[in-house]
Amino acid sequence: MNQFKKHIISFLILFFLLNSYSQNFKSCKEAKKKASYDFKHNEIKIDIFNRFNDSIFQSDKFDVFFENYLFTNYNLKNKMFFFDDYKNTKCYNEIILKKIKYKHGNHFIKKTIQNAKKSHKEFLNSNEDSLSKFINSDKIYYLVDSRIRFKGNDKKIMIFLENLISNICNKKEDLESIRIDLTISTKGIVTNCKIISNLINNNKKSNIKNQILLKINSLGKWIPAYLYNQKVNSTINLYPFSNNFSFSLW
Amino acid sequence: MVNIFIYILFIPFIFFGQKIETYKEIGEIHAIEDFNLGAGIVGYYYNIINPDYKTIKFIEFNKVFYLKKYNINYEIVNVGCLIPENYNCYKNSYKKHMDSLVLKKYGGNFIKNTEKEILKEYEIFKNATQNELKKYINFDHIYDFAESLPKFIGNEKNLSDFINNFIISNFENKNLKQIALSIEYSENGSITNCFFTDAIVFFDKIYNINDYNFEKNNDNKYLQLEKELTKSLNNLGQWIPAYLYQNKIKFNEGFVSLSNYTEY
Repeated sequence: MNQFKKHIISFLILFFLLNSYSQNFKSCKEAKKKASYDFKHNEIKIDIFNRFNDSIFQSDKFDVFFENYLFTNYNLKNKMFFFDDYKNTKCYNEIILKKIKYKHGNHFIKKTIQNAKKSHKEFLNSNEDSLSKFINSDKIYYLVDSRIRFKGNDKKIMIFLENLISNICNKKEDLESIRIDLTISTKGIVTNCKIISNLINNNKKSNIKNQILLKINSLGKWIPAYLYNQKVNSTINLYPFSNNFSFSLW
Repeated sequence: MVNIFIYILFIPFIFFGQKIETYKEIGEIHAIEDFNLGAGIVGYYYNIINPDYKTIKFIEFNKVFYLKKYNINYEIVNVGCLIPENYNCYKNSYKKHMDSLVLKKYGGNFIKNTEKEILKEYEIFKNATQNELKKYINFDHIYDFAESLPKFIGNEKNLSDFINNFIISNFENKNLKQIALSIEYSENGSITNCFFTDAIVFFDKIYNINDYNFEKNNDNKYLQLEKELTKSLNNLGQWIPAYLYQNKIKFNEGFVSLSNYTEY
């Protein structure tokens, strides 16, 4: 009987070990998949430039400049994000670094920081008129000095979106999850729009998008985003049904 | 020996007790002050299951209704006083005293009756046309909430740089983090007044009248600076006014903090 107990215990131990190994393996695989996906979409969600520890980045002035520099010159977004599990970070890191080196060369990280430092010095000594060279007017910036705002009553936009979306989507629970990303050009005009929701199907999404693009510019102009005192293309995120959210008292 | 031990055990409670007293006292003082200025009303919750009445939209309607009809400020606050140095202890005391003052003035059933009135009016409001919405607005009142906030037409960084430079150059030897600015806008978007205030009152302690406020009350220089800044801001560019229920309103944007300031 004792022998039997021993077998059961060792079986259980083996089972738990194998299970945790396979889970780690699975999450590592997922992290690698995520890294490939992010790289394809020009986003690096890991601190490959050592921004958290290198003293040069400790100043906000350089850190923000660097992020825009990276985006302007290499079309890369380096938003900070860390996986909870160190092993997964390692898996993510491995793929990202491999791909970066393959695309931009072995010394990309070092060179980019050096060039960004030079560019920052130049930027600090620039006058207002020469700041435009630090910007690519074709890009849609996500880090700006002055955000996009509607040139009028915000409610007008929200009512328009609320009515339009409610006509297309019937279920009330679908609506609260919706986020609308509007791209506003330097001229203060809506040039693109993206519907973000897990509950609405693609057909409805494209219907909403087309309707918005058709009508929204007739409601009025927008104050564009500014970066380095220049107007830039940028995106604004809107939650049209946020005013209907339940108010939590506790 | 046992006595000393018991005494030591009670020391923290003695200190906490004193803190609570202070916060309670401040709550009471503020309640009386606010009531004399036009009254405030804090955190009356509707005991209703209908989810429509638990939305931000409905809470906002309550504020609008109380202001228009009774000139009362309605505010939702979590009131509980578990941690002595908590802001809630202040609000707890504030609410208690404000309740008794409001009920004394308007009668014991005031809140219950008004709640019924608001529920009725809210159903009408939900289907109101743009023109009908006007009746809910008190056009003389300077609101501190809106459906659309005032906006500077231009680069916001230039605006914050200008304000910060103004403060830095005029408030020498001051801890700048303590100074904040509130701006009053007219319904056409122009700036009517600027006030320098003590940010600490909001972010740290409740009733900390520091040296700056004392100086301000006794020195005409600050009033002149406020006038100068009002004029300069109007010259700097144009603003889009605040809106409430699709109507342009007067608005007080409280505490434009120095923390907005970023420099490259």
